[in-house]
Order: sequence, then structure tokens, then C-alpha cells
Amino acid sequence: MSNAQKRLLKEFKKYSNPNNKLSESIISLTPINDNNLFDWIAIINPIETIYKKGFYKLSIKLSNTYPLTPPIIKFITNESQIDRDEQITYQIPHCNIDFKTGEICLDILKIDNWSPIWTLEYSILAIIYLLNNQEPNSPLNIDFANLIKLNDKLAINSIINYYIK
Amino acid sequence: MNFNSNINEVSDPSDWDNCKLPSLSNLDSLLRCQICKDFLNAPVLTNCGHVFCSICIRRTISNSNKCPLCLEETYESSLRKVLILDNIVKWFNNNRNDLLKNLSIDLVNDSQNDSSSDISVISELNGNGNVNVNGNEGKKEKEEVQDNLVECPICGVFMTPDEIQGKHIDQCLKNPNGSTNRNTKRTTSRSFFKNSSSSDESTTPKNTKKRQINIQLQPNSIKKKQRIPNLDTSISTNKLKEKLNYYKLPINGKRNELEQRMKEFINLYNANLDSINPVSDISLISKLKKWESLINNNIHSQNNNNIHSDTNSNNSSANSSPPITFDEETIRRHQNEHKSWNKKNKNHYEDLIKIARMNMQKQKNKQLINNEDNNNNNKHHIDDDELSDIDTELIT
Repeated sequence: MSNAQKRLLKEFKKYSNPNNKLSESIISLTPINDNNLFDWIAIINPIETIYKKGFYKLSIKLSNTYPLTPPIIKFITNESQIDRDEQITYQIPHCNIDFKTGEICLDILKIDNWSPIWTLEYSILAIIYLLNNQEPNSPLNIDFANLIKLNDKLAINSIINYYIK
Repeated sequence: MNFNSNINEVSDPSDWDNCKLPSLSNLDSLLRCQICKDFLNAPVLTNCGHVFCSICIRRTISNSNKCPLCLEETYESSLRKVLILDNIVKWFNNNRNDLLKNLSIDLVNDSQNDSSSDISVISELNGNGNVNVNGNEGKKEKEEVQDNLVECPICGVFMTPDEIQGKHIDQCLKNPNGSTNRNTKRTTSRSFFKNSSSSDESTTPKNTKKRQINIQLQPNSIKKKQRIPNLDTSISTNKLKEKLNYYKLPINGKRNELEQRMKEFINLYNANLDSINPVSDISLISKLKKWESLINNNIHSQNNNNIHSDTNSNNSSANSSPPITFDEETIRRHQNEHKSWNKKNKNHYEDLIKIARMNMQKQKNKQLINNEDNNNNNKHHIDDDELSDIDTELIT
């Protein structure tokens, strides 16, 4: 078993322990299947943010160098029609999240700012924190960044709610 | 690999949740490295006062010179080993299962203990390593250390490791009688301990007050060894190979593979010098080989999944060996594969060609109808010849 697998197995054990409650915003955090520890899925319901009505799905991909390199985390936006879940919202308007690909622009998930002590749970919590702390100066969604800059709360909320199922 | 079968092999601070002393999970998480989340192995101290496994922090620093906890600048040269902590962790790890067994409670009583176990989980979550140790837990840790009274290697008096570490050892060493025979005395006393402790384990395993080798001393052979300095990546490939050869490491592979191998070996080697029970160079090399094959396997399996999902399944076992070299054999094998593939799907190709030809003819016919020109007939024949050329190309 490689170091990465060992570490991920520890994390998996921690998250699957019923005594250990994850944050209320994280609905689930598990590997995709029983055979691959390098591919995880998280479902979040970011209460305490302006996206609180939505359920979002994140894909987490890891490499054999984890935790020395950060996980690659994306919002799932292009699920095929067959796999789609009615509860999940697959479109998220956020100035640091690419609307089409779901790519996330977050400094701590870049290799230069990542620290190996952080876990998958922390990474997801950081993304939930990002939802309420948009950074319009380094946008991936320029249209939405303009709304944030103008601080047009009515428009921001109605766009977010328009996409939530 | 199904990892559910391995889940019980890894230990976690939450193992203590359902025992009589759930607060032990705090001690458990304090004795863990924050990078690998496993028990500290050859712990080292950074300038900023944080402790990690030697190998973990060395690997981290070779990526970026930052302490993972406080992001302060940290250099490999400033790392210092903490031998007493190595002793404590080893003791805890060795006695962990016994402790768990002795402190386990019947499942019937679980409900009573739920509230307290929740608290420990929460405090662990909040800090994840920066757990607030309240008075009780601090005492607990001290008690456990005091259980291991150790003998001074020089005068043979029993006391706590802290006392030996402090004034006592200096006083003993200043003693002129001791100083002349120091080396011989030390080795004899250590070998005596080794024998006594091993016999203790075999005859009376349940004797909890057995004496342990708890002297903060590494084997003498380690002291002679010097750390390998960091790899200068600007050296020529030949010099790098010389260096690898010097440490009896394999010298096959590309330049970046050689560099990776050398770096990992330096990390392993230097980390081994920080351990209280260091291993031989030979076992370091076998560790390095395992590490390398794991990394290469991962790359291979990814490639196989992405590119040759079905055609290459027969050869995946042959491909798992680390060096990726395209010698004549593999090229020949690939050519044979191509041929067999073409033979297998010959009918399919022919069908495709027929369909393509039909479509071409249809288009030509349409043109013919539109233009009603005789010259087009000749062109049509030429096109037919071209098609047969494509036909032969595809088959070979």
C-alpha cells in the first residue's frame, strides 16, 4: 500500500465513523466505488451561504503523491442525462467557479499554497467558505463577477435561485 | 483492490471512543504526524516548534520550504531529531492494543458513554492536532512516561527519562572513573538490556512493569554516518549516475527518474538517521524500489485505463515492470498485434469500404444525373482505382 493509499484509507475510516460528525454542510464524502481510493464524490448543501437551497455534487480526484500535492476538486456540471439526480443542481453561478466546467479557482488548492496537513474534509469546507466569500478580482465567471462588483444583491440572489432545482 | 478489507488495519484516534477513557483519543492524535496521520516515525522538530515524521517533512520540504502547520520558512538543515518522543510513541504504539483491550467496555454500556465520547470527537475535530490538552490529559501522559523508569546507561540508577536527560547524565559523564571506560560500559549495559527485555517478553508477556530499553541512544554505527547533502539538480547525468552507483542504486531510466530516485533515497537515508531504531542501507534500498514501483504502477494503470482500454488487457501484467523501454521485442510485439488486429477485423474493414464505395457511387450518380456528361464516366473509373488503393493500405 502506498503512502497516499494509507493516508486516504485513514481519512475514509474517519469519515465513515458514525461518531464522527462531518460539518452539517457536507451531506456525504465517499470514494466512488470500493476499488478506487483515488476518486471521491462529495455532496454538499451549503447552509449559511447564499446557495443554501441547493445541493451540489463535487468530484475529487487524487494522485499517488497526495498529500504532498493537492486534490483536484471540481463542481460536477456535465453529468450525463442518465446519471442525473433530480435533487442535485448541476449549474452554479459563482465568480470563482467556471460555469461550464465547474473548475474552482481557490488558492489553497493550488500546489504552491497547499499544505499536506489538510484533509479532504478541510478542502471541501474551504470551498464552502469560498461560496460566501467571492473574489471578483480573479474571476472564472466574468459576468457574475461584474454583478458582485456592483453588489446587486437582488440580481445575484435571483440568478442563483433560478438555477437551483 | 478492495479497500474495505484493509479498513481495520489502519488505526485512528476514534478507536478510543468506546472505551473507558475516551479522552485517550486526544493523546492518540497528539502522537500522530499531521502529514501522514500515522504515529510519528523518527520525529523531528522544526525551527517553529512543530514535530513531524522525519520522512514526511523531508518530502514536503523538497517540494516547498514551508512548515505545513504555520507556513513559516523551514529548511532541511534545521530539522532536529527528538529521540525521547520516538521512545514515547513506540511505547504507546506497542501497548496500544493491550490498552484498548483492557479499557474496552461491554456494548451494553455504550449508551452511557455516548456523551463523553462525543466531546472527545468534537475537540479532536476542532483542533485536529492543536487539541487543547486539559489538566487531566497532561497528567495522564506524564504518568505513562513515569511508568517507564529507565536505568542511567552509565551509573545504573533508575529514574525518569527527563531526569537522565537533564542534569544527571552530565554529572555521570564528568565522573573521572566513568569517563575512561564509558564506551565499553555503555555497550555492555545496552546489550544486557536487550537480552533482559527480550526474555521478559517471551516468558512473561503480561508483566506490565517490565523494564524497557528506553535509553535515548541510537546505535553507535549510526553516529559515524553523515547526512547526504541535498541533491544539486544542475549536475550532469553522468555525475548523477556516479552518485547513484556509489549508494548501490539502479541507474536505469530517464534523467528525471534518476533525479527522483536520488532525492527519495536522500530523504529515506537522512530520515533513517533520525530514528531510534535505524534500519540497514539494504532495507532502505528495497524500500526505495517498492516506492518507485508503486509510483510507476499508478502511472501505468492510469495510462492503460485511458488509452488501451480493451486491446492491451492481455499485456497489462507484462507492462507493470517499472522501466519503460521500447526495445526490439516490444516493437515486434506491437507490429504483430497490428497484424492480428487487421486480420481479425478484415471483414469489418471490407464492409466499411463497400459502404464507402456505395456512397461515393451514389454521389457520382447524382452528379451524373445533374450534368449528364460522358466525361464524368472516365473520372468515375479513376476514383474507383483510388479506392482500391486505400483498400490495400488499410489491410496491410
